[in-house]
Amino acid sequence: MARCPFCGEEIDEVYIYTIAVFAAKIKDNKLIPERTPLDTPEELAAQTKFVMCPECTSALPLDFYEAEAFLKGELVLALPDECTRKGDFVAYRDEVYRVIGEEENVSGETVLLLKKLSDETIAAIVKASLT
Amino acid sequence: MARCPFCDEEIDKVYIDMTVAFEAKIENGELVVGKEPIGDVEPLAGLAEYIYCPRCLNTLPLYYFELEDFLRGEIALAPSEECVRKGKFAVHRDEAYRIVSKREIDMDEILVLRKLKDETIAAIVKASLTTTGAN
Repeated sequence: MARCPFCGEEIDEVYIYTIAVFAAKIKDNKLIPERTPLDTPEELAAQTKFVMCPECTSALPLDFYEAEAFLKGELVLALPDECTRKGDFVAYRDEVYRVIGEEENVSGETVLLLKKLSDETIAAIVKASLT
Repeated sequence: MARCPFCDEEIDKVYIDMTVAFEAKIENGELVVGKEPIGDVEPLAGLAEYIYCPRCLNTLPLYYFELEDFLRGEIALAPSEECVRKGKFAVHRDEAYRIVSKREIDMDEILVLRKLKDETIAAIVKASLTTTGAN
């Protein structure tokens, strides 16, 4: 399961902040915006401004499509000082990963984007080298 | 009823752009966005970034706090060249208004007009503007 790099909680969903269009009309003499947006789910995804952890509401440095990989466990986020790093490889929580990106979230905190090494032999070699 | 100053259609609603949060989780192998935003939309509506005509999708030069009066017909939007004006007053489509402000949208000058509630004053303004041919 995905884990927020800031609060350390396991999460199975994210919050996306996105621009949405709502109809608003007068009901009972008051202006009321409708609760359901007019946008399709694809439009909401494309207009995502940022992604947040639902537990601590920290901004995660992901776009909508990376958020999908993150929740599927294909992409891991980690703070640099929690990793043992050598070149493009890191050990984090007893697993080894390849660093595929280094991003800052909207608060200016650096987060590593990591992908798990699929080849067990290579993983074992890298792990031995790092630890 | 409100009327769009661009397409001239009567409208009983507007579209507003807002930044809101939705839950998104994996369902059947795909990241799916919730149908409704988290929390109440109403308090966020005041932060609406754009307000559109639902017919022609042109941006209406209005603030959210003016919308209720616009949809009730108490505030009107009119292209400057369609109004007969004199000082702070204007006549548009045979109604007399006080000019609230002038706003520009894509080079078009739109007048924000508030309907004169007092019928006597409205009649005087209308007579004064339509007989003198003021502009």
